[in-house]
Amino acid sequence: MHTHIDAQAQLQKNLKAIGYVANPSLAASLHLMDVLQKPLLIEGEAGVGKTEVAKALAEIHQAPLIRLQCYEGLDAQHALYDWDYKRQLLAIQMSNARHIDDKRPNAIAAEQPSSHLKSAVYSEDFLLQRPLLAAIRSPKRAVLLIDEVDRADEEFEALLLEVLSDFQISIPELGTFNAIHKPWVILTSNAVRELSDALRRRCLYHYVDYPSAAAELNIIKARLPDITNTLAHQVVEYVQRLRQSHLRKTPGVAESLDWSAALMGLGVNDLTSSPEAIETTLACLIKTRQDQELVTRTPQVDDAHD
Amino acid sequence: MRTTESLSNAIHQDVVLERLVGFIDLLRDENFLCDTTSSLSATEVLTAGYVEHRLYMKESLRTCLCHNRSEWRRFDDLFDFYWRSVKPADDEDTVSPSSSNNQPPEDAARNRMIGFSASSDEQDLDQNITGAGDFKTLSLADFRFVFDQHQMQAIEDLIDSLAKQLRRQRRRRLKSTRKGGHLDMRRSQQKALSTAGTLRELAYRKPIKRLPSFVLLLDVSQSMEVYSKLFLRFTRQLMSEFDRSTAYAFNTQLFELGKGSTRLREQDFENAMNQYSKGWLGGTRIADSFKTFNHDFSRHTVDSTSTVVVFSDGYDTAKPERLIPEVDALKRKAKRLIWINPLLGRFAENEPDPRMDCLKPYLDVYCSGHNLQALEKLATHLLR
Repeated sequence: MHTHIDAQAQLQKNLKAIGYVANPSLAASLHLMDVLQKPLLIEGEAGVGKTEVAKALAEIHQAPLIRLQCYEGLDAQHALYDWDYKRQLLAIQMSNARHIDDKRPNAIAAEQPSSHLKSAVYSEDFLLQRPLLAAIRSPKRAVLLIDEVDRADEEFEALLLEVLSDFQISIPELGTFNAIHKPWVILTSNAVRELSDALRRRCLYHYVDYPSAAAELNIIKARLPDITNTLAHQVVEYVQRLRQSHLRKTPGVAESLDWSAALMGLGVNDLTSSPEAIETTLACLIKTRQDQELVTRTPQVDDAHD
Repeated sequence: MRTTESLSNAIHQDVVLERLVGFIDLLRDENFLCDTTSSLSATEVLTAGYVEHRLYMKESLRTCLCHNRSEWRRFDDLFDFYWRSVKPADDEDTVSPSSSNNQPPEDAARNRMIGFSASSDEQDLDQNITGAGDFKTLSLADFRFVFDQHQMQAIEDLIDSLAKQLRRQRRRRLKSTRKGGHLDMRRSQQKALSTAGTLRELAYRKPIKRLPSFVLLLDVSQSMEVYSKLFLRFTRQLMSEFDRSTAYAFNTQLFELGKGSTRLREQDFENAMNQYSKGWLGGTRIADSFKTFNHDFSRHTVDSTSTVVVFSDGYDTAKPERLIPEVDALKRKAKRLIWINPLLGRFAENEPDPRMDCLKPYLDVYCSGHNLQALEKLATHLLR
């Protein structure tokens, strides 16, 4: 009865072993994704480690990571498959040239590809696999990361539905491709745009919030084992307080790690002994001019918060 | 297939599954997107042994039954509330099969939850019929003096057309940018296949549609009663035309009315209003509501391209000084901050208003929305 719970705990350990500190809730979601063979939609702020989940999962399963970065205007040709038009044209022209060589010049045949030629140019030889098709046809079970799906258009979501529900892709000229191995599918979203219910219903869901101070401390120590205890605590305390103030771009875990690494690079082990280091390295945490003004205007985080 | 050996477990599972059905019903009552697939996944989770451990069960069910952030946030409370009745309070880790039989039916828990929300009957506006005016008169009439049902209908229709007009103007702007679109060589090559490589027809990239996103914050306290219904109507229409918009309402607390095109029916709006209407008579806590908004929602809904529109008279139970930092935070995040105060129409120009004067430096636009003419002016601000 406890196999699943043990498996979850083991998954959590495995993730930690490669430097990804997952809470039990995330481990449960990842385990369920495996058990129920459903995609997992992870929502959360920028920089809380959503994309890293997929990377970590690929690493612990020793599986290839296939990534589809979403953006406005992303279409089937860039996500599912495309035809290699240049090679198709070359093939058609070579075929025409053969006709001429055979001294059977035929103007119509030269202009219109024959049905035989048509089936030849629309074969798998001329098929370009894009990330979704590549994940479906991967000979080894892969981790498919559909990153920042909220940046893509609503029309693109409709394209995803077939892949996410049936793990298959239909190509009109060739037929339907079913998954050789159902990939682990992770979709991430920053909630820039509301996703459709149809997409949400096909996925398990997990929301990643900013970590608590204790969790963030664990993450920093796991990622930067050489950091001193004092500095790690100071970084966490500062960043946690900064998150309470109304910044345009709230610093995420990624920023905490960058800042810690920058401070370590400068040889800072204790912020109280070198407070000027905060201002020098603030670029790692603060990403807009307005936020910079706010923080520098009120150097003490307490004041900024008030 | 159940074996004889696991008969008692099977009975236990049946009981738990029955409870699960009740729980899913409760979630649906709370507007969760639980469909059959989610329910089946949840069932699979429970039958896989998760029911033996309360914490794992909660986390697993949350993953299966939640579909967005709002559901994710509310799930814990609903779970604890519902499943607390299934087991003794002192048992925090396991669900006792025997104890679940002695619990009151799930309806009790559900009824308690439903009882949490108030009835809508008290808030229905009962309008008297006194006659009808022409459109020009209507456009200048303060909404508080419109009691005729036909006039109200005419105003609502005008508001509808105003929102649509706004959309049309935006579309025209988009259309004009379509001229001279970028050449798409890849698609052009694809088209050339049928003519053996001769480029006879070129393909162009479609421009990316960038409709503006509005974040609407509506004061639905008692002092705004006469305006709330029309502003709600305006909000709903605006949201149906601009699907990147989000609406929130506040009185003593802040709550989400709808997001984009996901919840646009008038009935849904009313349901949301009814559900949170218990604070209607408790004064307006604008500063607290804005604080909640800045802390919990603004990160997701407001960015440098958003126009935030506040419909409020500014009457707050707290001192205006408490509101300043919240408005400042909102202003820094948003592209534009527009404050519509319907009471402005009652005051002379430049008449001091201690509640709002201290906020004006943070506002891009501060105007009245007490009649249609004022709302039309607002439309021009929204289009910028």
